[in-house]
Amino acid sequence: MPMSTWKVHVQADGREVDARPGETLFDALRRLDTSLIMRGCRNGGCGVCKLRIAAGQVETGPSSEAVLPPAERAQGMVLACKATPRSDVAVELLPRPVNPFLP
Amino acid sequence: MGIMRLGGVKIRCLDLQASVDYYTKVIGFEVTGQDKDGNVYLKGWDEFDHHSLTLTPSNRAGLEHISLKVQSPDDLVFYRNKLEGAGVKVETLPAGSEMGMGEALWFEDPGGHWVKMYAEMEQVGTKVGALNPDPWPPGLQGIGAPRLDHILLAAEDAQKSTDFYMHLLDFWMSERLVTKNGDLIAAWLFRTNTVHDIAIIAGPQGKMHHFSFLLDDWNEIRKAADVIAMNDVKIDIGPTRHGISRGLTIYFFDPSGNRNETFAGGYMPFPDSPVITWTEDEIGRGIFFFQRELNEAFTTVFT
Repeated sequence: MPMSTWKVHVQADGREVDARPGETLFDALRRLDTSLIMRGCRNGGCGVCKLRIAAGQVETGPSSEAVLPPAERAQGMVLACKATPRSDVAVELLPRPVNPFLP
Repeated sequence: MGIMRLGGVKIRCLDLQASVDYYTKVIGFEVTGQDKDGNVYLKGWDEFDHHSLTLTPSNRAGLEHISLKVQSPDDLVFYRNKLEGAGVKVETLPAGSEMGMGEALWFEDPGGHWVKMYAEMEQVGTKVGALNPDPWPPGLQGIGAPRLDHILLAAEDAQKSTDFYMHLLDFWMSERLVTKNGDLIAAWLFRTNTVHDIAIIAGPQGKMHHFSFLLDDWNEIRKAADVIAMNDVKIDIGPTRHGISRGLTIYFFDPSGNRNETFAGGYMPFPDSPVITWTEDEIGRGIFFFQRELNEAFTTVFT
């Protein structure tokens, strides 16, 4: 099946971005607005880019159960760096992790 | 007598083959063995011992344990008594708990990290040998890191962990970062003459901030950055310099999201060197001397 461009819809404010073929949700959302989602390890280990898929299908790669346990995965949580749209998707952003060292 | 160095780290990998490829082709370590449980053992070209890095397949990222090498089996007896005298539960692991490793002590530090202490490991030799050697071997891959350098561990109570390593394991402190009230945020601890072998930072219990590979100088750091970029490795920050430790550095992430560093420079601390203190209001300059401010990920991302 040829890879397609899918729309990524941000639930909080209705903005949309086209995910390029094969592009992760992390890369697509950062292209829309770098403040939407935090840039962490981008390899499925740290969990700071976690969000919820409210609608649509994504393909996911390996991620750490320490930050994305199966119970959360079952609720539609994904790590954006390891989730690639397979349809138009709507995402629910989660609160950013608190950094005690930054103002 | 006592602890000679951070002898090794065991790291959890979400995709073992991807990690083996990365640590060999990008970092430039070589595989020295694989055991029946699937653990893969690696070393740097200038390390004599069988391995300093163990990769283990896991469904989570992070640190399995650190390994501290002591000078003799007598040290194991000494530290068993000292730790047990302080109420720390110590187990004994028979020889062979890792390939080439002799009998080992096994205990948990107050930050929730497991520690293996051992005196003996099979020596397989460096790539340049020990007789009239060349300065470096031909055929290195990627960054070609000669050795493991240090690790930064997170602990909810940084003071308690620091006390453990200093009072029970006889580490010395080179530098520290404190709040305006004088509470410890982070500590740089050493047993060698490098500025740190283990560092502790206030953070999520049991988690790791990064572990680091030694490089010679700024030129090597620049070359490492090229290799990292050419291989599409995810960079956290750098190349840059630390105010704390004066080290030259790049931070980046392995295929499971564990943070790695290449580190060069620094200076030689001694047990009688006064501790260098950094205050919280100078944290930006202390951690990233050129940028003079933290990035968001550096103090948020742990595995």
